[in-house]
Amino acid sequence: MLKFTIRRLLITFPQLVVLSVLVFIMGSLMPGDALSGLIDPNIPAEAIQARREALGLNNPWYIQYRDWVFAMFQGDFGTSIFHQRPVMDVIGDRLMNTVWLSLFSTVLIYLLGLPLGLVSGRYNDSLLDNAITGYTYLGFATPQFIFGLVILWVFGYNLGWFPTGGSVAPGVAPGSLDYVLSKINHLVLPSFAIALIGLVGTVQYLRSGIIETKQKDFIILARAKGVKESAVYNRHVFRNSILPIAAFFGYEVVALLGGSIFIEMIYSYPGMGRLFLDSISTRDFSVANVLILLYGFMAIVGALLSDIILSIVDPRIRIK
Amino acid sequence: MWALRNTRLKQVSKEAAHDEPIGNQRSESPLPDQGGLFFNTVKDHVKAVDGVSISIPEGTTYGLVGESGSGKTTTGKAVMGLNPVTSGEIYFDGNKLNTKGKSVDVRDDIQMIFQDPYSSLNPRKRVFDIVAEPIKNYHKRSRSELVPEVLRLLEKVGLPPGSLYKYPHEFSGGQRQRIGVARAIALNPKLIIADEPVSALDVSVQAQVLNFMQDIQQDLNLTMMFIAHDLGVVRHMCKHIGIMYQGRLVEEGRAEDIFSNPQHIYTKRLIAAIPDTDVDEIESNLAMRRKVKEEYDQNFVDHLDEEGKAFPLQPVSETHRVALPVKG
Amino acid sequence: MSNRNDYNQNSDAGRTEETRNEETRLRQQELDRRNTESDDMPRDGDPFEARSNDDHTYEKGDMDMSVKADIQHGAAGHGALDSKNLPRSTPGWRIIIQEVIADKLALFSLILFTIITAYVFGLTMFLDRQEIVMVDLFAINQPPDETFRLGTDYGGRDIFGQLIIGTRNSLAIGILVTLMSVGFGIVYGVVSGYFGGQIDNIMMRIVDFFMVLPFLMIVIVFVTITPSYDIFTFSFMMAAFLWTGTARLVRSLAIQERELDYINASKTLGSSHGKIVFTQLMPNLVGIIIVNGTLSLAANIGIESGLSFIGFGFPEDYPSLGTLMAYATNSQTLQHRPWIWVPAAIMILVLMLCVRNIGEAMRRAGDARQRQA
Repeated sequence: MLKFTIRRLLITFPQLVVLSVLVFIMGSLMPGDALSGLIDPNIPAEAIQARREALGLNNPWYIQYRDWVFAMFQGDFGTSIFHQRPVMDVIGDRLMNTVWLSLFSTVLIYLLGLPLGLVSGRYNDSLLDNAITGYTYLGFATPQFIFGLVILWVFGYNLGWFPTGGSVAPGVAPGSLDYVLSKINHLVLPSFAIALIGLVGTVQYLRSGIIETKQKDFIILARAKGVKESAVYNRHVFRNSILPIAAFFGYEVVALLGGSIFIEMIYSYPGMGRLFLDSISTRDFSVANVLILLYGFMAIVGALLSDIILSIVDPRIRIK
Repeated sequence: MWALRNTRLKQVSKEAAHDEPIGNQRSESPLPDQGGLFFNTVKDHVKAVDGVSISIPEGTTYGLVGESGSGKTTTGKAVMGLNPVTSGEIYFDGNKLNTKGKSVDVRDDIQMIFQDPYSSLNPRKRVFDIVAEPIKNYHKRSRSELVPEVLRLLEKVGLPPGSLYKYPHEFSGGQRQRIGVARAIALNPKLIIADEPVSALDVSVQAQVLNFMQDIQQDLNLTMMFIAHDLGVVRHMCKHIGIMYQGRLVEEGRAEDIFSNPQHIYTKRLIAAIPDTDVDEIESNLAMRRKVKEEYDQNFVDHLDEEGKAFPLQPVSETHRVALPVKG
Repeated sequence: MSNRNDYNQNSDAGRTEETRNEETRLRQQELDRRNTESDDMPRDGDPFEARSNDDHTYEKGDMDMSVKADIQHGAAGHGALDSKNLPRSTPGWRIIIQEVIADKLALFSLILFTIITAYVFGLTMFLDRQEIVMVDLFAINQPPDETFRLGTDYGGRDIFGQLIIGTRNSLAIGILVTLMSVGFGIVYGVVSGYFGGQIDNIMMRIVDFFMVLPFLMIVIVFVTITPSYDIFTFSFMMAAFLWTGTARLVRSLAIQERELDYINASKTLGSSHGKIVFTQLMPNLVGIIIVNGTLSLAANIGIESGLSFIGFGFPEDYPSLGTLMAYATNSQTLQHRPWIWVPAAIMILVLMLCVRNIGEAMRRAGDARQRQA
């Protein structure tokens, strides 16, 4: 177990290094550098050259890479040309919005997905199961952005139940109860748009897991011993089927983060995905770069987390 | 190597216990125990075969017998070049086979018949393609030249010419093994390694395939290494017999030596286990078996060293060697 | 099981549940298929019937010869044999076609998909792209009428024409991406699985790395910083990140396959590694590769339209289905001009469902227990 965790941890380091190199290379491929935003026709070319030299922009790439990494360790992620503020501040403004969105979606996925999967697996081939299977069938084939648009159209515009954009109503004082309610109100549509499509995988996996477990010998034995049907499911089947799902938590969150780009765009939700698209369209590559690094980092950590949980849950993996 | 890959034995590898200059084959197969932290590095080896020396005179059949996991298949595959050899030499016709770097290519002189007639034939290939594969690899032949050649081979192994364009699943196990034999003799090899060629077949078919292999062997004057777990089968086929236990030879000699004068207790037990069809002797056989079992239970541990492996072979007669502890 | 496998199994378990499910399911089915195929009994018709019209004389000891010895083993005889015993004695792809035809939904999907594909590819040969994407300020945002069968967009461009061209472009990119990513994934996976050991180890670490990359963002950046790209380079940029699933699947199958003795046999018969991989191993993976390719085609159509939707596909004068969807990000269009985006949304759904239905039927073909044919 411990050995596995250490091995798994050791693998993440080269991943992080390669990720950072990749992002660095992409950064140098992108037009513009830290000075592009400052260029003023009144500043003489020599002065710009001097500034470039002072900032180390004329150094060989590996020196620049080293400086870049060191700067990040000291919390310096560069400056946004568009916003004229440190990148971290720009991202910080949006970070919490995305965290809330992901949190809401994750809770919804498990809150809705687990019961659906359990019912579908326990009563497989019933009418209810057919309905749920039909839903997952459609859900798999529906791209998230189409689904997001449709429920925005129906519940946002036609029925007018929920706000159609933003993360909070304008003019509400931060900290008040109204503020919190407004935030939640703004989260409902986007998080449902993510969750209702995102839970499809969980439902299917849980369903097939339960159906498979149901036929295992130890379940038949439990029944033969006279264990009540409800206890058979609660104590044996569900536990065995839910554990692997729990282990996918890390991957689930990572997948959510990636998918949130579409939803944040559709609902003009001021999160990191939206910030990424904005920074690309304003050619504010320093922000885009850090965001890629951040998402990659989160994906690596998420995968690490899932693998470790999985090794705890699944004894076959930690056999050594 | 693959068959033994999941072994959980852990044993730090040591230098080979002894050297046999007269032998023409000696092989060890490393099983890497992967335990490195970042990339899996090989830390230690489990030896599947250790200090085995066998020589097979031309035109004879050598039987290699042992229980499953005793390393007989590993030995055969090492000769074939399918398993790596850590130390020792394999000679064929005076050529060393396992030299590092540029090895002498004797693939067309050594061929193999596999144990499982199902997995050893590619299900997506027709009989023609299967049998013609080695010929295509070594000789440039046009298709029109290949067809009569393959047909000749099929005839030799007793398959109708209509089999030519069929797929393996259209045949029974015994027929599949015949296809395997046809493929193995396609290049006119000198040595054939038959890895338990009948153990996956129905008992009713086994004898036919064995007889037919014997015919082929005499026909083509083949040298054969016959791997089996059944002494009864080997008795039929082989002039020389080696008995393996836990990766080492425990006894080796001519078939008469082994059957009339078994020295090692493991050999005695194996011989006692051969079923006898003589009804009159059921009682005496049973008594004999009991006696051997008793002796086996009492003395078996003494026949092994402290690692549970066989001792080095000691000559009993000119043709007969056995792994008995050196007394005194 | 060795540590290496432990780790790999573990990362198998990761990713999305879907891919993992898919992998294990496909693997199991492939094994099931093998098992049902490698029965001891010959499959050719009734052995007794076969014997009665058989003039081959059996040699002594040939008791196990119960197969029909058809002396006329020419093409005609062989063909007759095939048509009689199709489901069992034919290569995988024939079973697949049979299964798709037997599955009514899949058959319907196949026909519909074929019609759509033929229609859009056929019609685009006669449609003038320049004319369709030309801005016509006198016909802005018109609802469907006689002139514009599906209305016009904010630039007065004909939606119907854009839908046809968009469908063609989305399909073409989807197919190209699938061909590229599946093709590369197959080679990568087979090499990794066949050679195993340290090669496999390193190759799989690379796959692991690709799987944690924020693929969408990186493609967006590539699209932005590439000065000009055509359909091939665009597909390539997508495919560069989408091959990992196939590679993992094929690798796991190749590992199982290489342990079978026919691979060993080929080695002893003097075949080179390349020959073994491409002529011995690959044909045994064809069925699963086709299924995998079909299912990833559905996914790739979705991904492409998603990219165009957020504005990082092709420019507006080269519309894809996602481009039409992108008009719906304008709240006025979303609310009041559904003719612009609803047809595209329906088209995407129809295409993905069709391809998925076909793929699922193919997948079932690999599983003897679920076969309907």
